[in-house]
Amino acid sequence: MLFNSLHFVFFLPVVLALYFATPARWKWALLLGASYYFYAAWRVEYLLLIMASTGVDYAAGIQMGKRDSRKARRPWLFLSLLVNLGLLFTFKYLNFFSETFQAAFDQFNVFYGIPTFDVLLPVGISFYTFQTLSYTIEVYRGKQKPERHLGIFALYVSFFPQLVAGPIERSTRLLPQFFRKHGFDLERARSGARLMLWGFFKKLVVADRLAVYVNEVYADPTAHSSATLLVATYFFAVQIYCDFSGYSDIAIGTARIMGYDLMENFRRPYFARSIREFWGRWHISLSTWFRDYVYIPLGGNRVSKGRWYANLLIVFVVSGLWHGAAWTFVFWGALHGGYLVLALASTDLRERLWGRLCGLPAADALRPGLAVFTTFHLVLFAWVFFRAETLREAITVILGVVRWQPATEALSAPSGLWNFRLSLVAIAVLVVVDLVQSRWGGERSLLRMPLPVRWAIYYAALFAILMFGEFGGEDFIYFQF
Amino acid sequence: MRRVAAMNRAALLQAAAFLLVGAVLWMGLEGLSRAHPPTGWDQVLLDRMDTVVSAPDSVRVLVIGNSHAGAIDPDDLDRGSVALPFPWNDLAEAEHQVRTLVPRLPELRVALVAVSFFTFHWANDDLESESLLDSRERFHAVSPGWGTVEGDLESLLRGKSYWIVRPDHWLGVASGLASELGGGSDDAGDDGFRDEVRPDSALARHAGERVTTTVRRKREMIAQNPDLPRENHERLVGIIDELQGAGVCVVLFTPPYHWRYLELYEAAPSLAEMRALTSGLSDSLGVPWLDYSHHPMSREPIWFADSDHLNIHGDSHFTGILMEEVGDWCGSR
Repeated sequence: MLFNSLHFVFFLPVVLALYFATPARWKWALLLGASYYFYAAWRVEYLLLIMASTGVDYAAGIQMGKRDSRKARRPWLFLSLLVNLGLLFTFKYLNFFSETFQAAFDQFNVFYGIPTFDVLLPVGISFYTFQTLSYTIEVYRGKQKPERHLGIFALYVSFFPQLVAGPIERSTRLLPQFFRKHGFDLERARSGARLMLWGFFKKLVVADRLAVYVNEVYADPTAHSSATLLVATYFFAVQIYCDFSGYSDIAIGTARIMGYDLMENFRRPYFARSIREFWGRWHISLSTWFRDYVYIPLGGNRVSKGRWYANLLIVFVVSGLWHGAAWTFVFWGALHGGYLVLALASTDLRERLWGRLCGLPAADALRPGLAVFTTFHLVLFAWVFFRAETLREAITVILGVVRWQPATEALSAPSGLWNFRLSLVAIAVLVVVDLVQSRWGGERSLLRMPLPVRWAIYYAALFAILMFGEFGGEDFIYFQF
Repeated sequence: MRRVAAMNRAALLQAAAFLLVGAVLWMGLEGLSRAHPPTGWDQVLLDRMDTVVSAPDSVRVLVIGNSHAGAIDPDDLDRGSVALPFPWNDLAEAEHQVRTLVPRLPELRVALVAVSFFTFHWANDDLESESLLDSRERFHAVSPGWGTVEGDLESLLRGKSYWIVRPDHWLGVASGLASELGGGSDDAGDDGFRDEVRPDSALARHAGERVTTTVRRKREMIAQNPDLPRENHERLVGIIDELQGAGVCVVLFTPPYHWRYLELYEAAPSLAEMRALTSGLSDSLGVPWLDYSHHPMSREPIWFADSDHLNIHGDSHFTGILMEEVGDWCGSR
């Protein structure tokens, strides 16, 4: 089920009404049923995958809880890893690796007999796999007690607001919340509804409108001028931010209404002053997952410099692969890893250069702005690989911009003038809101305003969604991961 | 406890006030939107439905069906005639329209129902593409009543919010307002293409594209629901029963098509089935089927806007011919 579907418009109020009418001890059952229904609205048979992950990790958790030493728990951790990563590999990566090997073997005229198989990627498999893995790893480490209530554990794996695109919640944070009593809290409900409203605005008014332009240009980059390619790439940077952070806001808002706190997933990432800071603001739940379960176990930065850089590169390549089974994603991840390594390796040099070139106080005042500008454009460059279907297409886009050709078409041509103008207005609204949030804090600054002003803002957002939103049912980009 | 109750009461009042102000805003925006409809078709249908709703006693002749029903020009009929052609309309929608509108029209005497070559093999629900549900949404947008077509709640809600959630995202309103402020006219454009006369070769080319598209869609719909012709036959029987029950004289008609459209369609096996079903229905229910598809107009490109739609001159000409025969069947009603 999509958040931006009519189905969800009916689903959510019904679930909320039933949720608050249900006695506390049975709320988990209602939410579990609702979550399975939410997921089954795509494909019923894929519920079996979630159930399989749930069953294996539940059993693994219980068995690990019976054993005192890590060594004794290890086989159960391996079982969990094997089953979860095995399912993920089979459904997401098998064809990718098979095709890659096929191409490699073809180079040497060697027969490669493993076929690809025609299967639809289960929506959100990467998200719930990582969520459930975090549980078994924490139980293995002894930081999480095994969950004995199967129903509540199943709910932790499948909680519908964040099931298909996160935030990827840790068991230590989310599981205890299912045991607390959650009555209706008006302030929480208002706060959640506000967040959902902003999420829908970002998704329907900004992301999906920009998608019209971006999709048209990236469908055939050779048919467009340099300026159009550049604008499409800028638009994509905003589109993917609004698409994914919009989803996160709706998810967090929905959970908040019911009384659950999900972790913040985006913190105005394009205001970051470095790539390292960017990853502290973008898809925070995934970045911290990789930090805790891949980067630190690899040794983190408590190793030799060379090994440290290698660790960073490994984490980012794996993160790229997590996003999609294609070389474009691998390259995108490697590029970000490369940025980080380069930034770390050149810290002293950059400081010295900056000191020599711009020792004036005015230059120091400009430095944060320059850092934001540079970081944003490094991220933008990497987005080309993320958006393109193939590496060749990404290079076509980059060369199309670099070998600057005079425009043969109006800049607005791919989406039409009206759409183009609406896109620019939507981006302007987004920037203003992000600036206000960054400077004064989003919700707090809103609550300080007089009631009529607040209402005017709510009506403006609501009617902007209805009047200027795209209701074509465009999927959330991160669903494919 | 009392404080909590007072807080809840205040919150409820605030929520009610928020909804009330929202409703007022909605109505204001809807009024503005209706004054500048997204397309010329919307303008035409809005005006005609306005007649049906505001002066139901005046409606004596009603023309329904898909865009082929537009071959009848109500301006060439007596006062009290309304034609409601909805593009790609299927029989489930036509049935819904009859059920929604006919009880509101006490003076209705004659109903003309357009039957196209694809009428019995067409159901918008049975196609993956949602674009064909546009006309269903348009009907909900311009007509009174809250009933669904075959339980299609999504189209109903989309239709009822059509004037806020417009397909042109308010471009029409913006340009309409700009034009008014600039002192220009606010001509929605109507169906201007129907004013033109096209060369025979262009019409033949159009026939090739149109027949290919229609036959492909029909095939997909039948693949989804092999029972479709039988179900549609029952729907048409239901429509006729409903109208006859209200004392209305029913006439089925098929307008003239361009010769190339006919030539290409003759190869489609569904055409024979359509003819057999319509003739059988005509005989069993005593309802005339006036089939003008092969009328001599077919050979004269001056009457056509495209291969299966008459232009405004063709409409006028055909309306005169048809109404003469309708008069024979329905008498002085």
